[in-house]
Amino acid sequence: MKYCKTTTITHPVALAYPEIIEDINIVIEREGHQSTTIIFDTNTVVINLDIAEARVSLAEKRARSKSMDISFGSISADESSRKMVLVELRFNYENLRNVYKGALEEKIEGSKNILGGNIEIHEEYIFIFQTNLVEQAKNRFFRTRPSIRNTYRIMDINQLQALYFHSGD
Amino acid sequence: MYTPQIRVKTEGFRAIANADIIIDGITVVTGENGCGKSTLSKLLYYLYKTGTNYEKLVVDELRKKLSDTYRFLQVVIPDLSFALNEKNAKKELEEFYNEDSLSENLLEKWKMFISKISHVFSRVSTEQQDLLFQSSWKTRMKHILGDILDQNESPSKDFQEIFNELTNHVASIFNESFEKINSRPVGLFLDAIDSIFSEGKLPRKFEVYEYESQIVAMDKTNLSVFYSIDNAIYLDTPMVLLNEQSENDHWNDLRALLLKKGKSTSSNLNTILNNEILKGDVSLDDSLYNRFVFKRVDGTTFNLFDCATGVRSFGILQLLLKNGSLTDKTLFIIDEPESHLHPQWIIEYARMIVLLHKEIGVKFFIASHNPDMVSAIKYISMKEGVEDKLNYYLAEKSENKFMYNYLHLKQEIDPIFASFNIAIDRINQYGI
Repeated sequence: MKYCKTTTITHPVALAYPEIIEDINIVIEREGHQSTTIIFDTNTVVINLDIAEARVSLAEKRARSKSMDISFGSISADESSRKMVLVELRFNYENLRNVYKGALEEKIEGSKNILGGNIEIHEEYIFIFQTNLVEQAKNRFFRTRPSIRNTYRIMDINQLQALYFHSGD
Repeated sequence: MYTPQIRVKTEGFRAIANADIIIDGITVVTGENGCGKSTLSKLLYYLYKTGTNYEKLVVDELRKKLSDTYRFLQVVIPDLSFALNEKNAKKELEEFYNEDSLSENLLEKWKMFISKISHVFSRVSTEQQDLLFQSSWKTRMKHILGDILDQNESPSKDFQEIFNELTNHVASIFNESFEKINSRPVGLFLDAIDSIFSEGKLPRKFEVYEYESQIVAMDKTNLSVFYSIDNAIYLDTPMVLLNEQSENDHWNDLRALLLKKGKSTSSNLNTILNNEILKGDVSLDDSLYNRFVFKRVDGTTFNLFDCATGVRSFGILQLLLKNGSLTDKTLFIIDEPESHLHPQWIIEYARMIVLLHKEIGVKFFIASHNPDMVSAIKYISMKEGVEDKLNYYLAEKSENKFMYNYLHLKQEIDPIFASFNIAIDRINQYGI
């Protein structure tokens, strides 16, 4: 699967609330990622799930739920399948400390509620850490919840870029 | 520029291809089984044991070399009881044989004692000797003396001549020891390595630097006096408490240290051990015979031998802390401190390591396989403001797949976790 801008910006929630679409480079900088180089191509946009939850919860007249940080559309190589990828950004060490089963599941459930069922949610949930904390995070995730296995994928921002946004091939 | 207190460089020894290790706070080495972590621990321990207890080791060696002479004198005293006070003579011999300091005075005591024995013989005429001793006795004594002096012809010599040679023999052993004390040859350390590692091979390179100045090297003839470390402790299992006497020197050394009496250097850390971890107090009860006891907070007292292994692990720390064995000049080498500990206590142990360094200045060399131990040392050090005193190392396979290079990670631990996480991949591979 690769990043698909069309799937992202034409998602029903994005169409309903266009202000939830943001440049990924701006989002990751705001979330604390420090880099001297721009990782993603300009015009790479994602859904800011935090803003989306604010809009949706208001519309549904309910209390705000927890959510992952961003989501983007992805498309299979043969273009037969489209899925929304959920991503949590944890660039600070503090984020390594709080890896609790309940909170993670709550965020995933909250994000699924925001995005609804029009476009399938990708079965792998991505957690982005600073490069020098990735292996520790993998270990903590696994040991906190041995059953999470392959549904939670831990990587750094460059690995995310290579996995979904690399257009070299 | 940063100048580490101690830096140890070794190459080509057992599983170690290359290691350049800094000891200046808390050093943590990690790597798979058989990568040479324990080899490094032992090299360090015996280096510092040799360097810091040099005179004692020379005296121990001297005693060993004099043991045959001592046994001969023990054998002969009862047979000469017609001319000397057996009880006093034995006591006198015992006292100077066990004396711990080397001096000309001690040599004089040996000479005088041999002279006294020789004199008894000289006072007895040959005819009287024949009456007092059977000829087989004399032959046996001459054979024993011949064995001590490494001579075959002793039986044909007279006793006077043999005793003179025995005196010279003892003096020459003493002179060898005096020479060793003065010149501190590195050989004592190399002998220790040779006896611990049975392969009979020495490291291709072994160098120690203090403040970047070389103080030990294989091609250097003398062993320098260390400034930064005057006491090395090696703990590789809490089971050491169970062994009264062992073939492992470092177990015997540790037991002797635990039996030492002294004063604690930190009541604060002792309070943490008592109130927050052990919920009780470990001490040495020497009222009847030396035994270690654990007095629980409710007043119940247990023999430490009968306590859980985890209690013994912390008990060892507490005993060393309470008797003042842990100072800013201590190098505390611990192999797998996490062994036998519940995960919760692994973190408490890591906390004690960090606090012992922060509050007292104890230097640690830790070999660990445990993710909690590795990360707890790092993150507790960060909170306690001593992170800059951490040095992590990861043993990586060299081109020769049976040997390892020690990669210096400074304060980074993620590469270590990449290695630990292979286990998680394996669970995924072998599990459902």
